Amino acid sequence: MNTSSNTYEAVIGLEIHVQLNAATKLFCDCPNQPGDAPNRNTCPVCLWLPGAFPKLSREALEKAVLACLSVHCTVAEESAFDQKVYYYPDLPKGYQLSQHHKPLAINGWIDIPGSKDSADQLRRLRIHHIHLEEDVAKLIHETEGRKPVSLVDFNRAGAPLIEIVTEPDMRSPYEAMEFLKKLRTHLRYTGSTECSMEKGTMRADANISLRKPGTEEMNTKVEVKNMNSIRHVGDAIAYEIQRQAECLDRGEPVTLHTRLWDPDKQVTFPMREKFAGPCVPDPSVPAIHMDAQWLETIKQRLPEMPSQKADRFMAEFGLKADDAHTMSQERDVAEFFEAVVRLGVSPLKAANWMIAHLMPGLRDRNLDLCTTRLTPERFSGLLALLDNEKINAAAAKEILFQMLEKDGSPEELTAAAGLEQVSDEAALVALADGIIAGHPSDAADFKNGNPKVVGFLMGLAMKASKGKANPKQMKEILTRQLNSL
Amino acid sequence: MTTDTFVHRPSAPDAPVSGGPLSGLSVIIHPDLSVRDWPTDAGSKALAGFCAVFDATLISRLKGAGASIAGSASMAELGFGINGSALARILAGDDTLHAGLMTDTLGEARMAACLSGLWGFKPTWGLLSRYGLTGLVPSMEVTGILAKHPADIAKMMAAMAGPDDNDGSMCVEPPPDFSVPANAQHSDGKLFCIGVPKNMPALSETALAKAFSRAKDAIAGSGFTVKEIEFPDFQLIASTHQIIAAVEASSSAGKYDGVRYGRREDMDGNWNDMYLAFRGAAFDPLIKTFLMQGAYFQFQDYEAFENACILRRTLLSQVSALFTQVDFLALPTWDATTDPFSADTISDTYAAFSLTLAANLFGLPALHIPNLAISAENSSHDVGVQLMGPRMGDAGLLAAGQTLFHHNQGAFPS
Repeated sequence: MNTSSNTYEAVIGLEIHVQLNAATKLFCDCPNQPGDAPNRNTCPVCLWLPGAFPKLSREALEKAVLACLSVHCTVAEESAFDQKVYYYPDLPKGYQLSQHHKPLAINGWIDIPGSKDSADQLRRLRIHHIHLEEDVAKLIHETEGRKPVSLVDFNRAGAPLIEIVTEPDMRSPYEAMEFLKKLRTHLRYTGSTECSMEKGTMRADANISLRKPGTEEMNTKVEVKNMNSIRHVGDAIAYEIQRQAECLDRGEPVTLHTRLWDPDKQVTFPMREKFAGPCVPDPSVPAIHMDAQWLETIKQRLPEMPSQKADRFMAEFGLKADDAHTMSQERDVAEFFEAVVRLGVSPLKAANWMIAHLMPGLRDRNLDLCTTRLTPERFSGLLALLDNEKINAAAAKEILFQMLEKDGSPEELTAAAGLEQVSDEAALVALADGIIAGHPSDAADFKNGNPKVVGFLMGLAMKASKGKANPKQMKEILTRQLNSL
Repeated sequence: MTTDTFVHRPSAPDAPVSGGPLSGLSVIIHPDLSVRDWPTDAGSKALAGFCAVFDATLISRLKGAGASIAGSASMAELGFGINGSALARILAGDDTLHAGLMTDTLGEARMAACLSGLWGFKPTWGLLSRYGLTGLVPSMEVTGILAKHPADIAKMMAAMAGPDDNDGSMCVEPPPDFSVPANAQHSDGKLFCIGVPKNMPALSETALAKAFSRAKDAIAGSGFTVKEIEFPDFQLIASTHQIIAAVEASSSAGKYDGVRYGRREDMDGNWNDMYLAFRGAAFDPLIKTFLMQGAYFQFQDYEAFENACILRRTLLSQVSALFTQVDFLALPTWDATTDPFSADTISDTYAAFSLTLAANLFGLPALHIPNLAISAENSSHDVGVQLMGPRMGDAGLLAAGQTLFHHNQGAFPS
């Protein structure tokens, strides 16, 4: 890292677009499914035909309000839509309905770990406001013969979005990335959004400027777009800090403009500006007047947030801080964990098995908890088999992975795979004797005082039993038989 | 391509319901109001060839009440002014037609009615659904009604007014009761009081003042109380209207960019070139100038737009205060010196509609009454009486209009 960037302090703000998972678009009844066959989910409203008027979706409003509450925003008593004017073929009505003058909510915050090393010192990052807006259409660039053509897919036009605008509180790529992770966790908890940067349901733009450390000045900022993972956001910000620092070192001024992140070359480059105008109040969508009672009912629907949950998991279940954090980050994971505990499994065992085996298993198979066939009942049934020594840990792991994609009770799957643990004393003694008889020199080694031999013979015995032997019992028998030679 | 001057379309997609309150009533419209499968180009090349894919709410309500939609007449581009509108002339000259619908943004419906000897009504903003209306100035425009008889206006309002799920901007309260009897009195017996402007520079021109004073006599003679009042800051109304309307028009007309409708020339170049080429060819000079003015305020002087919005609220509260002193305000409709049918610049257009703009700026109902303010010197000059009422005072206004009609039968052709 060039030392020049250390002589400046970075001032970073984020603008994050999040697609709400409401059933319909923001202003019409068309399905909110942008991925369907092109232009399938359209009507006069989202095609912006003359004479069709936007009608605000109550569900989208509810989901947006939940999202605002989850990051501690104050929901405005009155918010209203504006026409954000710009000309681009992805917006063929010439303006986007957005909330510029009167946003839905203001003044939120999110706490992030203060640094990588001191996770318990929290740093509070402020949110300036959150507003509702409609998404624009999608352009698809193709060629007809040699002629380039641009096609417009209106499935996404009018999809409900919220935009979260932060204060310029972040000072490093690390803080921006932590903010995004926390924001994603909070928003997902509300059930209002999928929040996936990879799938495009969360998009983050960063505004970056530099200043001398210790000053409060706000210098000319550069906006960076087109990052499609949280890591790319960190990389792009780091690159941009370096680029601006080098600019300033050379005595060149930083100019106000927008740059795009190129993930392959790992650089930002200037983009052509859209012709954008101001925001004019829209006379056709009525202002949103927040009814106190209605807002109260929405507040009731706000679930326990992840940090509260983690605290409770430590206090109530005795989980370690790390494990409590892991068990609370995703709502489906937390709910699964608590359901398993309610079924009588010890919280520590449930957490250990989820962290050590279940979650890596899901990751390897590219699955989510909610899309697998695993239920808390089946998972706790499996752990009960383990507790009762019906199967051993290796077999339990094997059955667990089967259960992710297969139906059947843990007992049935175990029987079908022939993985029941062998605890029959006579059978294990016979097995031990056979192994010892086959390796007389190792048995002699043991007699001469080398205890490591047990481990070696144990491996052979487990292999011979196809992993089914009760390992604890097997080891006892092997030791006993060796000693009795 | 502008629609033909008047296209009779007897094979309307949905025949009117028989036995309804409007059975036998024949209505013509402008091609800015959607009738399914009819050309709906709003008089602009920007929408050339565009056919509506659904019926406007007003059209389906009229049909549901038994009215038939006879056809559509040529109109001014995007309904701005009446230069090019044939609707009032056709309506006045065709005995089989009873009424017309015409978007009123500057005062078009009242003015066209005034110049053709018809009644013209602009309802309260938000009382009629705009669903299916190809609009230009959303916060001011409302479908106006032209008719040969004032009772038809009340009957049509009864059929058309009221909330519509497809237009979220409408008034939420239930519509007025349009079966109010024609009367010059309140239900408690008190006479309706009509305010006329005192010392208004716009009315100082002698011929206009004379013609209008004949109307004042007719009003007083029909059992109303007439009271002179100060009309506040009338001279500010036109520029306030113009700045806000131009900005809204610039925004609304953004959709005419050649991506969706109209005829796009085969061309090389990028999107920006396409926009310039299409928008350059799609609009006629009058509307182009208006959109340019709006874009100027949007991009270069947004503060002027914000100030106009503040002024609009201030003026509205001043005018609303007048309705605590009087029931209705009376003004001439036309200043008799301009020619609204040939106005082809922004300044001429605003000058021509100087007396009708207030109702649009404030969203208030206004009724043009013909034949009561005819100049003594020139009998073809009817400057009109325009009654403006408080918000949602539409039914009372129409009742007052019918009272004037009944008391002055001699003035109206039978």
